[in-house]
Amino acid sequence: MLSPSLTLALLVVSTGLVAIAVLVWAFLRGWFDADAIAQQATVIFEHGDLEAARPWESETQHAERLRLYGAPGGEPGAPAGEVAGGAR
Amino acid sequence: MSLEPEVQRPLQHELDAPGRRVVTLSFAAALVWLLIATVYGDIASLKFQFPDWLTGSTATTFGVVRTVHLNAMIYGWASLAMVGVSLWLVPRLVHAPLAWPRLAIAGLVVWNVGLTLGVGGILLGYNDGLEWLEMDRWFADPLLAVGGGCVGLAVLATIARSRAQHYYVSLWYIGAAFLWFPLLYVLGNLPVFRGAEHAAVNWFYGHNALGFWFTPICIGAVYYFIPKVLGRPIYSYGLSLLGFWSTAFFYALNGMHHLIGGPLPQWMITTSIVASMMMVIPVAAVAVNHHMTMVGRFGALRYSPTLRFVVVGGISYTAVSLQGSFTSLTEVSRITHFTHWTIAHSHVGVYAFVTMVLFGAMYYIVPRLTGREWPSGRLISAHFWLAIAGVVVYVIALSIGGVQQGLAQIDPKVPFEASVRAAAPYLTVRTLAAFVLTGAHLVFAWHVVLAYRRGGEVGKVSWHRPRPIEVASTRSEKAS
Repeated sequence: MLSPSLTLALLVVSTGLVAIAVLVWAFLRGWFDADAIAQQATVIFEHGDLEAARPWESETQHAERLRLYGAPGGEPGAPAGEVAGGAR
Repeated sequence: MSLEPEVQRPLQHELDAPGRRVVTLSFAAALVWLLIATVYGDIASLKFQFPDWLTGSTATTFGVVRTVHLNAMIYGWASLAMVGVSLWLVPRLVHAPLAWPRLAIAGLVVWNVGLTLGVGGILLGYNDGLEWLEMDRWFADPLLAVGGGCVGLAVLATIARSRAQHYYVSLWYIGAAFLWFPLLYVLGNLPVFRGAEHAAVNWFYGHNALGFWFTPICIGAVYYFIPKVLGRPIYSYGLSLLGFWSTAFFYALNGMHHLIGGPLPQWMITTSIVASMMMVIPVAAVAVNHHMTMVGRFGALRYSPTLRFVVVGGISYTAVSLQGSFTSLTEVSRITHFTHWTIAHSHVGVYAFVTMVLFGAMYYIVPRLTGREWPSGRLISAHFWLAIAGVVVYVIALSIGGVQQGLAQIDPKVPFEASVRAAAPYLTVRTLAAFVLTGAHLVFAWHVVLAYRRGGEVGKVSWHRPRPIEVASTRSEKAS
């Protein structure tokens, strides 16, 4: 029978090793590249989420949203605004 | 940054449809368990003021009542609500419908049967005697393991069918939780440990249940709902990844700080204290990200119940984590260990953080399940302010009482009875706060029933024209 401290040490190391393995796998797949990270941040947004103005936003924040993402109501998937490359 | 082409993504209502029933069932069960946990929590608290009350039966003694409250809260309310949130969120994160929804429903049923047997067993005196693992390991725990495993398989199968080009940080957190927790739960319940080893494994499980089950799913939810409602990406996505991976590496070592001063090798205790302090890294990463995303937009809290609850939950995560790191220091633990301070700390974690985030998530999800807005802005406001008032008073009262109690306990010139009397007035305040929280839960449960039975404004929740659901439900009954 293993001693209690060795039991726990092995448990902790094994969970840590799995985490390291997944981290290395993700790194090798390029998931931590700068471009990939930038795109990951917007995965949760549907068309219209970023363009739609919120009622609590100030005029400056409205203008910034318009500049970055374009006007709401555009075609799904169509690039608009500075962020999606539409504005220059 | 560029958005993925819309034509490749299924519509949101297509993603929601397969999981609608199982998410509703999960939330319904969670609410039932919340009310059960609330009643037993109230009884347990009242027993400090009326120690001779309800002593005629073993099932109504403090040791049983408090244990029922704990298990109903963490495996009933919190876990089932988190399962519902995960089953709703994961399809949206991977842009694919929920896989194997019938398996998930079966898993939920088995889980609830197991939990009912477990809680019923506790009332009848069947108790494994392990913190957070009291339910009987032979007739209750296997059902929770099987039920949870079925739900986990559905979640992981959904992730495997991902159509998204990238994984969002919330998916890392939620996916990891469904891998970590089954392992922990089975390990913690294995009947092969004895003595000090058993205590060490118990707290390896107990603390990691918090860090690898409750925390990741709720943090994942916060990372989704704050940017989603605000309509702006998280402040630093790279920082969010740092937070996830540092949690993955450091959290597992924390558990032994519950046994400071206990009969364990000193290197284990010291390692746990160091790991507890290292947790400042992921906690700071999460706190900076959430705060900086919200900066300049705290006005949204007047409009959005989701944000109100989720932001409070996020702040509480920072508070409870820093409190935990601080409490793990030997000189602090010397005073606070074995006092009501620990109970206050656990309520900051399970209530102010986990429960508030889950409330916020449900405020977002339920209208998208029913296709109708919340019926009453007033009930939302009442729920929020009752919950806030209750938990703040609860935590402050027990924290002060715990320190008073601890200072009396470590003074050899002070009799033990004095430490009990020192905490007594604060326990009375705690009971009053518990009643306030009870009111909050009754309001919320009633509002959920109303939302499903008659709802507010009827109409399909349109994904391409975000409806100000939360604005409309609070605008006419001004949130304050």
